[in-house]
Amino acid sequence: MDGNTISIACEVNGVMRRIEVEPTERLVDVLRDKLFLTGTKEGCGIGECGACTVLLDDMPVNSCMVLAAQAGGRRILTIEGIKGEGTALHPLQQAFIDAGAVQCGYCTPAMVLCGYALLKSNPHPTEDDIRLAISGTLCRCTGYVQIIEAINLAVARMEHKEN
Amino acid sequence: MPESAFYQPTSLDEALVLLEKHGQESTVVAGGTDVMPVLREKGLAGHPVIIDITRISGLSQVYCEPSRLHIGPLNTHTQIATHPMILSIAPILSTASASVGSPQIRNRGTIGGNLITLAACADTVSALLILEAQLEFASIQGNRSISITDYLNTAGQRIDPTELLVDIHFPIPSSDDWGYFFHKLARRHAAAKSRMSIARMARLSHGKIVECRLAVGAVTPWPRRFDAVGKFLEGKVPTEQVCQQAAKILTDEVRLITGERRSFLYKLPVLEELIQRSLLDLQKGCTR
Repeated sequence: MDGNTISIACEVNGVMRRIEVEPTERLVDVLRDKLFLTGTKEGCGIGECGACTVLLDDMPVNSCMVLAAQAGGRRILTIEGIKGEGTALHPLQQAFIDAGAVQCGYCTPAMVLCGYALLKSNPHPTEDDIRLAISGTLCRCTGYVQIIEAINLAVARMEHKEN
Repeated sequence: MPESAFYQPTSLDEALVLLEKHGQESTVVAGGTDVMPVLREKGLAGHPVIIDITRISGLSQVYCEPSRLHIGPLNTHTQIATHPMILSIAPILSTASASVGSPQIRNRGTIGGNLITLAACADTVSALLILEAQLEFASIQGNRSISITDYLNTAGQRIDPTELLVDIHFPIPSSDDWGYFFHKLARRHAAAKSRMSIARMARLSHGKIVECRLAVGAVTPWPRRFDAVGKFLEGKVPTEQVCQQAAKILTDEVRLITGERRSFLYKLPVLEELIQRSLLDLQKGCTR
């Protein structure tokens, strides 16, 4: 059993949190088991499937590959932090529903977060940009086409709103 | 078993003191993409002192001094793939970094980690080999500078656990007439380990090869440069026949290094083909 706990402060979904973590604890476990943010899924645990993706300072990372203690002072966004205006869903979430991009749902939080990070840095992505952005997240239902369509749909809706 | 501990030094001196004190017991972590799977599988038995080096200032630099490009080991593959200075000076390194893992892995994994873990399939290493990189290590005992070739030749011994990689630098290719080729062969485009990677840089004059450097990853225990082929190609026009001969020289050398392997039934013909392609590409002339 690990002894020396470390106290870290980080922003999780817009709220500053102080969390006690063990030296070898992974970010995915802290998010799920200590903060009860169970929208983040663990798939392979070795950084290959992307199911545990969260945004660390706006960048998609595998939370199974990050030591929780390394997250001190950083900004974390999980699927629970994705929201639209008021009580509405975020356009990406709505588009995932409308395009039928959710099958078993296990990769969905990661796919939405990858899409969110993409649109934040590149609001008008090409289909290749979208494919690259989700390339680190596996969908074992193989519903990639609908996921790409969903992100395209969200882009179109957000562009429409801009004009 | 000793208790695990976590340190997050913010200066190089602080880190070197920790490494001197904990040495063998320490696990150095930056992006964590190599450390975390080990941690998950076997724990940190024997190396319970975690030293997170990501907060050390001065290890994320990218700058040119007059004739060399310096890249700090903490630069992630995403940063290397997109950094304007690296893209213009050493596009092959950007291409190699862009081919690593997946976006999530590239956002965490560092070029320093690629060199220290030194998997046979480390994608940036073959590019750094032909760029003739020099590696700078620091420790409380002092600094040492080693060429990447020497580093790989002594790779079996690994680095001293009290040392830290602090800088990677290489000569800025002197003229604009260098042409580059990088190809990663894997089971799929994304999130896949290299089955083979080919890095080539060459320059031509009046249609003849003046200099050609070739490195291959994932075929020998560590990525490796093949200089005999380069020598053979000097002064030659890259005709189909010359490229074929060159590829043959290279695969013969691979056989000598590793001995016969069952995987060669697939690997050697493919390697031969890829080497030929990398050289035939020169017929287009050297453009970046």
